[in-house]
Amino acid sequence: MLRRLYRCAVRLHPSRFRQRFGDEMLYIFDQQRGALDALGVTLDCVFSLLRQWTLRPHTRTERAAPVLRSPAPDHIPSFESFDTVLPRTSAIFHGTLLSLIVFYMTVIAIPYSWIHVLHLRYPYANEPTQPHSRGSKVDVVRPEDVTPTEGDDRQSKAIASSLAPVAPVQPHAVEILLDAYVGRYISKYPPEKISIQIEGDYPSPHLSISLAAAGHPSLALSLVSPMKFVIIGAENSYVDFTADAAGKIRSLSWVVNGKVITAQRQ
Amino acid sequence: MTQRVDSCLPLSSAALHILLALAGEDLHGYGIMQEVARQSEGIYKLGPGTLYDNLQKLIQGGWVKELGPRRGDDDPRRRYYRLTDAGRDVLRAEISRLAQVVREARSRLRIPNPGRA
Repeated sequence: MLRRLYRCAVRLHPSRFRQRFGDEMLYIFDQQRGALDALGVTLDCVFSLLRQWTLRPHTRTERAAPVLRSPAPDHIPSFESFDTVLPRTSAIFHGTLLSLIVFYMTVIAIPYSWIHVLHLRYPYANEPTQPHSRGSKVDVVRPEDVTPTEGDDRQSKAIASSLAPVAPVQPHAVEILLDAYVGRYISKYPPEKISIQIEGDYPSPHLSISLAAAGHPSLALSLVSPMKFVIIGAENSYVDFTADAAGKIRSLSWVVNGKVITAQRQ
Repeated sequence: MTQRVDSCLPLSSAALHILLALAGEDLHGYGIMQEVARQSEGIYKLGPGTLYDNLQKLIQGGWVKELGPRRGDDDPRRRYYRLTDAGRDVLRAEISRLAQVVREARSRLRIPNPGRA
């Protein structure tokens, strides 16, 4: 390990210096008996590296002898400079300063642009890959498979906030029958009648389910997992379905901004 | 390439010890390190980076000459170095300067000369 570090440090010296003394420096390292001696030699090599690049400009500007480039047997990368003339010191300084400014501006800008970075588009249940019947089949897509897009921030926020408590999403090509969710659901407290229905007609390929309740407009649902749908266009709103042992949907929990309405299927 | 002797003095500790080590015989880099450690009784140890940084300067100044590897040597990575006449002159001048410093110090500190004690 220490030898690899030492070898790396030797390789990072200016090519002129390395070609002249690199092999000997490795030979000296190989002569060290104890780990402490090897560590001391390595530290000295690191200081030498700094010294060569900062205090010995002539070493850098001297033309190195042409070498036959071949891959290193130990796979340690080496540094080669094709140009023997260094840029002006002021150019290096300005370049460094400019790089730092751009870097810090980028770091500062990241928190303000997270929506664009994390903006994920989830496929809806009405975007199947095949034509559907009333017992439509749709694909569940993993979150990492979808590509970021612009627009519809509220939907992405709703999805992002609703994903946290959810179990891992099913893999590709899980077939879901939309009919299984359709029906009337009754909540005792608060008293609420909720119906889940399919939007669109067969053989239209654009089938989806929606939620309707008294006092609410029809809310389109977007599939996240077989038991979870988010409400399109509403933040922190989603619907969790619960199935019995036989796999039949028995109840739903409609979460709206932290408020939960649990309803049993009729 | 040879510089004026006076303009090069005083030498750095590393340069002085390297020239002194090569004053006796041609040595390779690791041999110089060992010789320097021996001369200073282990007090001054040169690392390879320091050694070759100074050797580079001494070669450029024309005080040390690189001989390359020796035939029949056990490790082909070893390269030998030799003190040139110019390097010997510089070393003499530095030793004289140091001797003058020692004389002055003994005088100031009233330390008797070892030869007269």
